[in-house]
Amino acid sequence: MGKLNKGGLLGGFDQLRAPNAPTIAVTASSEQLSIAITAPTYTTGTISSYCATAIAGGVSTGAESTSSPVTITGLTNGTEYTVSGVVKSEYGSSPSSATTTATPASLNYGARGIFVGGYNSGGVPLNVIDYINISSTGDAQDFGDMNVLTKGENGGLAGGSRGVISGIHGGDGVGIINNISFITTSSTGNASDFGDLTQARSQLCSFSSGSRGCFAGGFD
Amino acid sequence: MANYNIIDYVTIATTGNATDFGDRLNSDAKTRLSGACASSTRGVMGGGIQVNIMEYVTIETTGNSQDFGDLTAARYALTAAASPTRGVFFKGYNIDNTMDYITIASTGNATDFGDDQVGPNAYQGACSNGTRATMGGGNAASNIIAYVTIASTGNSTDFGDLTVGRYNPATLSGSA
Repeated sequence: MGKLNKGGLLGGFDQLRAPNAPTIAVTASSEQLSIAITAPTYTTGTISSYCATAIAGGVSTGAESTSSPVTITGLTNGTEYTVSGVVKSEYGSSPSSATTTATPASLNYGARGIFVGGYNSGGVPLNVIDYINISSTGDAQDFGDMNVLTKGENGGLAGGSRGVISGIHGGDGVGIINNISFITTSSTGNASDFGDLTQARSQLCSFSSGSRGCFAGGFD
Repeated sequence: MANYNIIDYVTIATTGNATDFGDRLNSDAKTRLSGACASSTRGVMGGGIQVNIMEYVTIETTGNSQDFGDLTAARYALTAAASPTRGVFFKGYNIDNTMDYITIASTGNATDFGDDQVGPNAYQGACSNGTRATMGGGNAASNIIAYVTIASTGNSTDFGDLTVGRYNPATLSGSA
């Protein structure tokens, strides 16, 4: 009888205890971290909140959500953050998860596809910029115009929300120019001047890491 | 007129003139009308006038490109796009509907991906959202956009149309 009472008391205390520490898995992207927080299999109460914290240079940035994953935004690309997570139930907050590190970085691809310039069927240079939502299907929409005519044979690359275009043939009477232009992919609007290539050329190829873009080869 | 094996680089988040990165391993017309794709660390350039060669660089360093492996066939005026791990090279002159793929972190030869029978065979532009690649424009100022799922090796599917038909556009993808 005593054992039963003792067991019952212990069981009751267990039910009133805050959750044990969760585990976390972190995915980094541009200027943000997504933290998947998994509560312990056996926990008391109902998990009502998922909290994540990222610390770098003594500065703590946090976010809280009623579900996992939790996204912390406004972080600095290239900075390593120490990340931890906590879950909360009606009986209190869990201890912190084990920490892990992650570094936000600018991606070299994104949800929006951009098509810039080219030649029309008469060989006339176009300054048209179109965009699509790559995960859907459907016709392209007008984005804006290039700041120079582009006869094509050029290259584009991106990091985060910035797209960079170069390798431009300006058409008859203009020829190949060393112009580099940029757009903000998350908006719509015309391109602006970025700077110059070391050598004017077209028919080049281009790629990026997300933070650095390269223009390679070509012809004038 | 001249061919250039120059590789320039820019810091995307800033504005300013490009800086010399190094030279392409191959020169002359081999460095014209290539296609290129990249992971977050490595850029791979493939094809060129009548060649099947590929070269790569480590983007956050500087230096000359290195040999990567070969495309399944020589081609030029091709385009390319990538997921974080796989690069796909789309068609080009002197082949029909062929698409190739590579594992970017390797230095091996390309493998057949599938066919693109939706769009024209060269002078397209391509971009990706990390899982799907779209190819638009091309020969005879096509307005066709097609797509493939990069992790598959399947044929392309129709996506929609550009606002204006064109060939040889610059293409990129970024945050929406």
